[in-house]
Amino acid sequence: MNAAAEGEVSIETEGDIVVVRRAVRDAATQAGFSGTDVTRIVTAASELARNTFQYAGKGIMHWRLVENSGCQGLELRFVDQGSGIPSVNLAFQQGYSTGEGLGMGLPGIKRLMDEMEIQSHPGQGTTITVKKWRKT
Amino acid sequence: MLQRELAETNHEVMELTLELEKRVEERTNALHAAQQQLEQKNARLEAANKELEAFSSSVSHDLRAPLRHLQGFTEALVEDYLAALGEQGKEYLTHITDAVAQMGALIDALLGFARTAQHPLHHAYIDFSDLVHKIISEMQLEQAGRRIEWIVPSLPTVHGDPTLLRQVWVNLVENAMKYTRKKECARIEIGCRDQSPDEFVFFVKDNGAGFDMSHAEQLFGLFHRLHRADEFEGVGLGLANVRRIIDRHGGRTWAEGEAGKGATFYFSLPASGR
Repeated sequence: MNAAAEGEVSIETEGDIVVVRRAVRDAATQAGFSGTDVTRIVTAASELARNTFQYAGKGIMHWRLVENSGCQGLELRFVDQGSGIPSVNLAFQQGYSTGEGLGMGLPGIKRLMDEMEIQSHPGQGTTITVKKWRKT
Repeated sequence: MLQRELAETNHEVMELTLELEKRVEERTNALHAAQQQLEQKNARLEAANKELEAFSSSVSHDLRAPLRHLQGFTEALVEDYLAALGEQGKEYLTHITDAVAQMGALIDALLGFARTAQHPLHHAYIDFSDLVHKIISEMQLEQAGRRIEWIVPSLPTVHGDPTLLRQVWVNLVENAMKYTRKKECARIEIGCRDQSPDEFVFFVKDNGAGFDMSHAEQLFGLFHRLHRADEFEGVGLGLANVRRIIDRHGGRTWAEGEAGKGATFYFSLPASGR
């Protein structure tokens, strides 16, 4: 059996967040992540999917298995055509307190994952890419 | 409804995970710092110990040479110029000879102490009953004209270095005899308290001069003496040596006493060789 090395889920309804969670959980498990790391990745994906739905209305989550100098990892890319994040720096500050349910929770997501990249221009949408590397 | 629940749960999981990670990191850092400190202290201690050993060993050797000169020339004075010295001069010479002898004893003790530290441990099974009885009978000369009641029950066989553990018993028995000298009827009890499966606790108890409990720890220090040299002779290395030897065997040393009523010296040895 050849498991898929990539896949995508479109986020159009709130229910799609659950689909994203499921797809990411399967991908992370397949990539060989430990139980706690799977939880970290699913938690981050869930936050990002909710942001996409909440701020842009709809978008796509694309996942793929990645490799970098012998290191196995999982990459998640959230793409939307929404209004974009006015200030990425500000988003990081506002979202600092994840407990209040305010902001986008970006700092928390960044800490759950190993790498995070945000491309966003007002009016042109947002692409957020996160990666997690498997500890050997 | 369910979606809100999911969103909140997800937030909670995120918060918990991050909080947990923070705590693990903090504790790991604290642990690393403590460990590093400990390692540094250990290394310093080891270096200091080595230095001290090298120092005492070289000092002992270097002090012996001038002392031999003192001794030699004092003897030459007695042999060649006794008549010219007169009574007063002879008395001065006696003082010099005494002081030289005392210093010689000190150096011997110091050298012995340094050697104890360097002596590698050779483990064997030792019958303590046999050993203690031998030590006591070897001290016949010191017991001449004294009434000493010895209480020595049968003692276990232990695993340790025969030479060094013999030194421990000799030190403790000698001490007990020394500090009961002023008693008309000395009583020295030797025994083993076998209360724990992990260790043997041995003791030597006497009814001699004793000591004030507030000095109990100082007793085991280097050159520490609670009595004046004219009361009880000695240089103050015996118990320091005992502690060092027992430490090296993984045991403990301590003492109990009361001024004028007597003292009990304890040492423990791990019962690993049972």
